[in-house]
Amino acid sequence: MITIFQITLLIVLLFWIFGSILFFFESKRAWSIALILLGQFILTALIVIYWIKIERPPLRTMGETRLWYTWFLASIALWLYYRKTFRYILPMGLALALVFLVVNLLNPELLNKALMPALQSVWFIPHVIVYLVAYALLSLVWLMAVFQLFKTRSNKNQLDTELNRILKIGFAFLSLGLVFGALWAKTAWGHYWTWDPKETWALITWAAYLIIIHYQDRYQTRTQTILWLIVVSFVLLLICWFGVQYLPSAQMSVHTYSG
Amino acid sequence: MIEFAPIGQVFKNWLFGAYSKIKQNNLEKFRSPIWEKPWGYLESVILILTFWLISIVITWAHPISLKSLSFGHHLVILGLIGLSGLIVFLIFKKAVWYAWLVSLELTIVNLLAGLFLVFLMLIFEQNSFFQSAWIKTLQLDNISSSLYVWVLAALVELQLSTVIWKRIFNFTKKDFVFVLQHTGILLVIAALWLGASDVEKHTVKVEKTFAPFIINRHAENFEMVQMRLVDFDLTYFPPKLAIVHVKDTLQGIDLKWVWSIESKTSMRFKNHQIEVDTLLVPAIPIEGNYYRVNDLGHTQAVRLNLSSSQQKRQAWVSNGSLLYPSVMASLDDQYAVAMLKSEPKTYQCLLEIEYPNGQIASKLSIEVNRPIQLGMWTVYLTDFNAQWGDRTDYVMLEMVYDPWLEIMYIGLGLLVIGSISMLLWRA
Repeated sequence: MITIFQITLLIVLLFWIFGSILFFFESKRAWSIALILLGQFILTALIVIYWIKIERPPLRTMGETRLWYTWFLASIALWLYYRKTFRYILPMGLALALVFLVVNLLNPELLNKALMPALQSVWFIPHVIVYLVAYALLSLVWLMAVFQLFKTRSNKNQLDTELNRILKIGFAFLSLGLVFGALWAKTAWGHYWTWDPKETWALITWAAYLIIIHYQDRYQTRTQTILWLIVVSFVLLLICWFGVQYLPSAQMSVHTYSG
Repeated sequence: MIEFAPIGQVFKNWLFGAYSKIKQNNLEKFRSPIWEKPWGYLESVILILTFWLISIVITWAHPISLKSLSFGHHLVILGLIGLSGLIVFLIFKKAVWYAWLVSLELTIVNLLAGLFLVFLMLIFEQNSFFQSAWIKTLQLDNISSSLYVWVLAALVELQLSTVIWKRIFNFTKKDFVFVLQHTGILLVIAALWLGASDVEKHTVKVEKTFAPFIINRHAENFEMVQMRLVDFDLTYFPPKLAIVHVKDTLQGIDLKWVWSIESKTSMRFKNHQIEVDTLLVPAIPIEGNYYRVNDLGHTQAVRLNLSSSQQKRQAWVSNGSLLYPSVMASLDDQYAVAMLKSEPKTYQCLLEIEYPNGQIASKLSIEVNRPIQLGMWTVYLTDFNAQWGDRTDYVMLEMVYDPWLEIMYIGLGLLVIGSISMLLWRA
């Protein structure tokens, strides 16, 4: 049973695949950008229509967060492309976005309007959105780090300026997500922090990026160590986002609705 | 024969610095290379482990309660931390240990030590009655209140305070974000660390009969009221239908075949056409049929039109309740249509408060995400008797007294402003 939702995702997928392929031909660059923007426009429309249809912000389930993450990933990659500092981030970012689109295609979402009472809060949208922006930014940082690690002609003693900038912006969003979550928990349950598995891993992820920020401020020339720290921290981020739900302790988590 | 430097000289130099003098006096040869300037990761790890070891020995030999200090005492400690940072910066800024205190190495070791404690919290179940004696002795079952967390937090706070003063005294435009974020973190840690023993939390069960609750406390005086549950309002999201495997229930439900009645009134499954005819909420069954009745233990029911190549018929499906069983509509000998339990959409309770003079206060309404203030407490609605639904016989309330609320909000506010400034700066 293929839904309109899946067909729309498939169209976005095709636009982005062709857009990414054309990107590597200098003469077809304009066509490439046009196709990518068209895909992004269709994805935006899909999110808006889905939002109207389910009568709540589509930010509850794992599939819905993947959809937003994909949108942010493509948007930020386009923004970075237009800054002209690291143009190849666009096809790299889109390749990652495509992985998440395929996962959504294979796991279609229900039209589920349910939103448990604790989630009906003014903090719901800012908390989730800010986290997803942070995830998208730090994913791009990870891609840039892997690129720099394996690029043979790179300056081994200097961290890419754009990577450093995006890392700090991503960390600022990660901090905001953590603070908004604590404020929301206080309003809903009276506690900022309950050492819930998701919260614990969010703290671990935040601390890992905090270590990178401090480390790279002091040892700016130890590029290889910083790049490897970014790679490891991204694994922690993925555990926090996806891996936590597979832990036995997650069954008692207040974040189980996200599964 | 090994030569030793005069111990007083070594201590003086260590405390007040002047490494150049140490060099002039050629005292380095008396020092182990590990402690050579500047102290790095190894020294930080050794010092923190030493602090922890001392904490564990103290805890084991003579457990001390850190809960005896009041909110006022804790505010004084916070003030002293701020002052200590200033004194350390002004007086000891040439000392070896000052360089270590404000060093990146100590920051990273502190963060790793914090992460190590978090991992310990994941390994050892916290606040559990069923832990062995040695775990309890080492406070591994209550890490957040342990002496070694106290020691680590104190060190982190002193470090934060010192680096903040250092930046303030050498302030440039670049330090704006740093000072905001680090002051925010200092206040947040203070509220979590010092505030841990000042914050009071009680989970209380309020039933339909009056029961006493203390709502204010001043020294030896208590203000007590009677409280009871008057009303409870609960609304549900529309129920969902699902195709289930009747023979092999272990197969679970395939999410592909779950749909909300509200958004989809018909579904095609193999050669079966399923259409929603009537939805009854609330409903009770009487002799095989369902009727819209709001009675004790009511359930939800839907009448379906089922058609296949062989037949057309109608069947009821219900998700059941405490009093009535759930009912499925079979499609064939393998599959059936079932109704899933509805998810609560909103719930709120109405409480009645009776004061000692017999006066009954206006009724208080509490909703999830909308706590109310009752005396010294902030009251949160957290749960109810889900089996009884809107006829619940009790509600669970979380009553929280948090004198650190304002300080925490200031800390979080500074962190938010710092993060936004960082965003604008970097973007």
